[in-house]
Amino acid sequence: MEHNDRILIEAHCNGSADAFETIIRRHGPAVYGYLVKMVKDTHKADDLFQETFQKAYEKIGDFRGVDLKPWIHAIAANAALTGFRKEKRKHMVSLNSDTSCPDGKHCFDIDNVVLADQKEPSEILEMEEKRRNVRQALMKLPDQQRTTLILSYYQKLTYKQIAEILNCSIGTVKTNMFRALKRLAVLLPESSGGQI
Amino acid sequence: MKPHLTQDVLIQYQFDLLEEAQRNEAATHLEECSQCREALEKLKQRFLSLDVLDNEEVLSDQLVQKTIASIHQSKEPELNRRRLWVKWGAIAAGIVLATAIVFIGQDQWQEQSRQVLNTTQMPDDKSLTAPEKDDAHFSNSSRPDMNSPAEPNF
Ligand SMILES: [Zn+2]
Repeated sequence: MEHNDRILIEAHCNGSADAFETIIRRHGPAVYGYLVKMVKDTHKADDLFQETFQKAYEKIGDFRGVDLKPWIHAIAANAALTGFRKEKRKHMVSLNSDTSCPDGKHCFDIDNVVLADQKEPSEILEMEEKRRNVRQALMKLPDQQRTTLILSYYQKLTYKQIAEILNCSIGTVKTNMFRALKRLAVLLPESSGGQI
Repeated sequence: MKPHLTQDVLIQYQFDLLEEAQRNEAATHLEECSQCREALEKLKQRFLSLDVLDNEEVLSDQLVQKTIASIHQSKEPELNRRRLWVKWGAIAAGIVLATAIVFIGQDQWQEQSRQVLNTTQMPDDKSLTAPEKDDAHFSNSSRPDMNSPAEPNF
């Protein structure tokens, strides 16, 4: 995987027109998964996704590593967290309490949700209810805690990689992770609901 | 037996946030204490609900295409800027070249005229006008001795 990343980057730098598209298709789903969990609505996730890969396109020539996953997540995390800071300065409103979409349109409306597999309507509704609860719990976490938890739990990145991504110490990552989990232990619904 | 593990320690144990010594200590306790094992299991179940967001939103092909298009779009102005630089560079170079040719030509002509004036005796004032380089003109004139140094064969 990592080895293939290097081959793709070299192909891209040597002028291959398709190499970057392959990079987007390989790492895009994980990056999109991160962004969707980080922000409240899919429109914003879409914008941040485009911003992330535009930046990646500009900077990929400077990338010297072999594994693009943490590198692209760093760009995505930076875009998301910078967006939050700007938003907070602009509106001076806490994101943590609000679950509605800023543009008033549907955000995680069930119509907008692409389900992994087909289920009965009642099951879909039940699943959507569980998802809404978990999303709300995540959105109640401070940005740094939320991003740490998502990068670790969902994106399966190590604490060391997260420290590099967020440009902080491993100690800070572990502290943020612990605080996020402690809060979630209270906020998450008691029933399991983990089996999709 | 040591006191039961707190929820904080159980969270740290489950998510690998403990130092090695503390971790070993907790592991030993869990081996011996069913109550703490049960508490850990409950905690795991609770965090398992996070998994409902796995693959929640699938990246659409439309967004991939949009992203590729936006990258190509942002590349365009840069390419256009480069093209513009090349274009204006070429025009500027042309102007410089043309100016240089004109000046060199003028200098050469002035040099020629000076040499002609210095080396020949003008029978009348006509020779001071009409800076003709045309050989035919000179050949038709009544001054066959007025050889130009630049045109030694005449
Ligand atoms: Zn115990």
